[in-house]
Amino acid sequence: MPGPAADTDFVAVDAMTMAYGSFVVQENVSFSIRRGSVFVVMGDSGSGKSTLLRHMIGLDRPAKGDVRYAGTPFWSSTEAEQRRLRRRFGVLFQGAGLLSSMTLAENISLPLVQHLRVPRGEAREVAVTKLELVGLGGFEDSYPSQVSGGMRNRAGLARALSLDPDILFLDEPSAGLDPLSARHLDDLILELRSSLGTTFLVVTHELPSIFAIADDAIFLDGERHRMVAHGPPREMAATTTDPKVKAFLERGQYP
Amino acid sequence: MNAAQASVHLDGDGTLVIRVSGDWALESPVPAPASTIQEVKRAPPTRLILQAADLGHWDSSLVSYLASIAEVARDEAVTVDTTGLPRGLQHLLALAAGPRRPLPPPPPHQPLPTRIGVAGIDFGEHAAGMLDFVGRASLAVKDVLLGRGHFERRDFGLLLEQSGGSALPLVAVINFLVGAVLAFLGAVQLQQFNATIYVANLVGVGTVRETGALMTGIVMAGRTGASFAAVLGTMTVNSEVDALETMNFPPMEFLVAPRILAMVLMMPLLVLYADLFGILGGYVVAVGLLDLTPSLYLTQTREAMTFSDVLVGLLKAPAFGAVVALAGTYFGMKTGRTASAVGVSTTRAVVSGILLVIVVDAILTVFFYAVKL
Ligand SMILES: Nc1ncnc2c1ncn2[C@@H]1O[C@H](COP(=O)(O)OP(=O)(O)OP(=O)(O)O)[C@@H](O)[C@H]1O
Ligand SMILES: [Mg+2]
Repeated sequence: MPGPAADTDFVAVDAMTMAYGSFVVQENVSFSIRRGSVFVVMGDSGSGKSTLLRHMIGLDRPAKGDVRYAGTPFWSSTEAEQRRLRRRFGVLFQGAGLLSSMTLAENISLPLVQHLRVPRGEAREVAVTKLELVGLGGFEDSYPSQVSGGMRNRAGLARALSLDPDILFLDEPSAGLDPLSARHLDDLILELRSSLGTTFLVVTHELPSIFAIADDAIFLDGERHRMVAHGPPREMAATTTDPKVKAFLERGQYP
Repeated sequence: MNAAQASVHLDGDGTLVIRVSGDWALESPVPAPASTIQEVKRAPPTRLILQAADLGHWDSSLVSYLASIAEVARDEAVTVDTTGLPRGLQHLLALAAGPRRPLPPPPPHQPLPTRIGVAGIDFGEHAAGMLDFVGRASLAVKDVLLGRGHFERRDFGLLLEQSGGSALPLVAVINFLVGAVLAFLGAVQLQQFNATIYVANLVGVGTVRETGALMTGIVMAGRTGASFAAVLGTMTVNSEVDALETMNFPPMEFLVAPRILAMVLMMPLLVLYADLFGILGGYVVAVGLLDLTPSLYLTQTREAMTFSDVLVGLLKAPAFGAVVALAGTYFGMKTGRTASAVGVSTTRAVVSGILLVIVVDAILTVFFYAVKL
């Protein structure tokens, strides 16, 4: 499905309902992400942001609905097709999910060595560059347990970047970062978007960051279990009638 | 310090007044709200007035006392007046009065037959889940053996070490002692017939056919099976397994298959080593306590054992290795998302590992008897 239509619907979540057993986390969520844009998922704690991400990247099967990548539905595809789609993802988990038995550099070079058969020495070079990109130059031989939570998060981002993915899923990338590192991260996201055309789905609570990076956004409500707002954050702030969304967004814009 | 006190008193017009006084501290006895809560629930007052009089020092004990009563009153649609309290206390109560999520209903009480039925169904699901796991693990092992799976060579080296080398001292000690015990047992019985030389037969055949493999299997269930479950469980808790899955490293190939392979490869070697120490244990007892010469004992041992005796032990070994590794990896991969879940998984892995080793041993013993091996 080439052409501009495919670009606006590069990622499309269709009427997705997510549940753990009989507990429905979010019902009937639909949105689409334009190629090369930054899409932000907001919501109160426990509203199901990480859950949405897990359903999009193929870890949990939706109770209803599906997600399409450039027109290919993920959950109704064969396993081989799903692998092919996953190959284009980069994921930063909440808490990073780095392999604790490997150094930061080994974590990042693992997919390069295993999937692309890059020689180890060369893969290490790439890993060091990616670490420098996130401000962690010199930490390549540290183990995840030897660095701080914020540093683990950035190393997780470096790993997500290792295969130059088309789509990056970031779950609270700036959790545990000081304002300067958080700012650096925002700049990095915008830079990758414009230079490599990477598409982003970012879960974040950081209002300054939301207003700085988001082209489009949704707000998930954990009490009503549905999506209550959709649109670019500034527009959302100006037009929303939902008191919760309004309160959430206004906290960052002092009059 | 004055004792903390709360006087509860119902006015003629249905207003409930609670007046708190004294020093309220978490570490000293304070009034309990339970009876007042009961009262409010039973006969809701028209209004609830919270007041302080002669209130000295106060801390969270007072906040929680008042908040728990105020909350019940609000549920009964009673207006709560807090203006008679210190300002700080008023603010804290206002914050505590925010909206709260209704608690999920408690699980209904089930009569014993139902609980037995549910446990039965759970067990069935466990068994089905385990069979499914065995199937997928076998496929993954096949893929890895055919060179199609993803597989870290360096990690595999560590696993071999974990499921072999580092267990050597423990395996040696345990099998030495079991060999010695066998010799004692045999000596006492055989002395009655003046046939102590047959202690060598008992120890030799008993060790290589049975105890060498069995004891090693049990040791490995407690050692390596537990460590597999703990490592995989912790990886699940830390989202490491999820991360591998999204990076197209199927956890079955990347985590489970190498562990099974390592155990299946190392167990026969460990069992051979265990056999040696078992026989050595018997030798020390026989030569030290009975009047048997070393050369006589060794000759008798060699004549007593046949090749098929040794083979039986060596055939049991990979089977024990496989079940121990399967139990460890299965419970590791099924771990919930908390630290205590890792503990639960580890315990389960050890218990089922030992159980499976003994069950498989029984089955194989009967089988080998039937095929006259
Ligand atoms: N494995 C699970 N089993 C059952 N319920 C779960 C599971 N994982 C999450 N939940 C529930 O689903 C809801 C959404 O969880 P989720 O982790 O997606 O929230 P979130 O929006 O990412 O929150 P946060 O901002 O704190 O990360 C929560 O109520 C949580 O209790
Ligand atoms: Mg989350």
